[in-house]
Amino acid sequence: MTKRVKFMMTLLWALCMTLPAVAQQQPDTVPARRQERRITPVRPSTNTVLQPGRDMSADMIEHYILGDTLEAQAQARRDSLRKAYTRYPRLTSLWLGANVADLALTAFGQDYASVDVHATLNMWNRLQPTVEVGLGRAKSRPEDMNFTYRGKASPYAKVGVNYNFLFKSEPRYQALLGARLGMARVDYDVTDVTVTNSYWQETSTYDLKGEHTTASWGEVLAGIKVGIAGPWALGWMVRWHKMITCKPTAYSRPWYVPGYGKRDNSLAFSFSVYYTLPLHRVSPVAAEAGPPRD
Amino acid sequence: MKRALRHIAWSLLAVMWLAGCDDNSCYDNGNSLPLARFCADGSSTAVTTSGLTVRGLGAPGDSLLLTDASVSEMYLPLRATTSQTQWELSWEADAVADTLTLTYDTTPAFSNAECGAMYQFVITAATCTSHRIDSVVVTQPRVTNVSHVNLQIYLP
Repeated sequence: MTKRVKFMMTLLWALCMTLPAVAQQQPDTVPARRQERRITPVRPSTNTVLQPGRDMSADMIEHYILGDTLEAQAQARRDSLRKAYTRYPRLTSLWLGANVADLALTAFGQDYASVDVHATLNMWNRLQPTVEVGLGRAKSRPEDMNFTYRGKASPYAKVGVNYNFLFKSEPRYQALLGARLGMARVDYDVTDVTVTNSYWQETSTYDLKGEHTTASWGEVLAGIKVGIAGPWALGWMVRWHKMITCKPTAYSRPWYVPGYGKRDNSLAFSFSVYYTLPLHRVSPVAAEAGPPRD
Repeated sequence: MKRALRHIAWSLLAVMWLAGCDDNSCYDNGNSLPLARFCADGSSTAVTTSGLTVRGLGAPGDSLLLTDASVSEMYLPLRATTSQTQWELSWEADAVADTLTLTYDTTPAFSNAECGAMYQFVITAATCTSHRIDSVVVTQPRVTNVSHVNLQIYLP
């Protein structure tokens, strides 16, 4: 008796479990929602053919023609995501630029100038390792002072990286935060020095020629870069810098350091003209397509 | 595009204004002057001495640096053209003056544009007569345009 009841219960349980699966396998059964969405692009009332949208892809049009509006909408969503969240390849572009801020400021009376060229690799439109090399010189005879400072044309170099906060936007517009490590050779003369001692009523003169030292410093910078026409772009950056080493010579310390500016100034800025060389031919990768590829 | 260029122009002006905030002041002396402090015997605390007259030996016109003054510290300008400078210190109450002699090395120096070029000195010897002065101690031999005590003159 007990065995029979147990057998009946097992049979009943198996029947309950298999019924929904059998119902799903009915060949004529189509989900109601999917059936409702299958519409024709031809309006029955007017027989007018619907025109595809201007940005509609061939895949989407095909889905509409086949009557698969769900797939067409999914395709539209993918296209929309592609536009909103583009991913750029690892080697997006290379910028070649020249910082001309000091050249412009010398026209307004600044008595020193650093001019550099720089190359920046734009990776994923987000990280941008960069190298800057340039020359700097100075010549100053401050009013009411007793010396002439001549900074000979000396080389400097900076290496660093930028981070583009607008990495989802097109590379024409960039908001950048970066860091640099700079090094410079400093050659200078301090000449025509006149020292007067008013109590002893003595005047003596001297020249400090061939002074030489090296300097290194760190920079934190922020700025923007805007494409203006074709591959050309303009950008400026505010640079806060701090001297790391600037060893004095036996008699002096440099007043001007190439690439840094006046030694006692902690703020500088650069204004650059860029030329962009694209490094990829394919269009940016869609967000849904996974991690970016080269 | 016009809007972006306008933002760039305004930002440039702001940065140029910020970069123009350049402090051209010299917060130290324009020359390197040794600072001498008067101390009571056995202590490095400054004491004020009164009725003091100071003149440089060989100064043009016998000009006086201090005349009947009450001071606890004084600057003693050194001659850059010689390696020794002498000062005569006399007190109103005393008949005999003391002579302070400083011997030093002189080097040219350029530290920054604001303070200009100057000479710096390293005091190698300091001697004095002992009528009123007890002794002289060089506390900081390097004399720069940064103000700090280089000599302590002990009074009884």
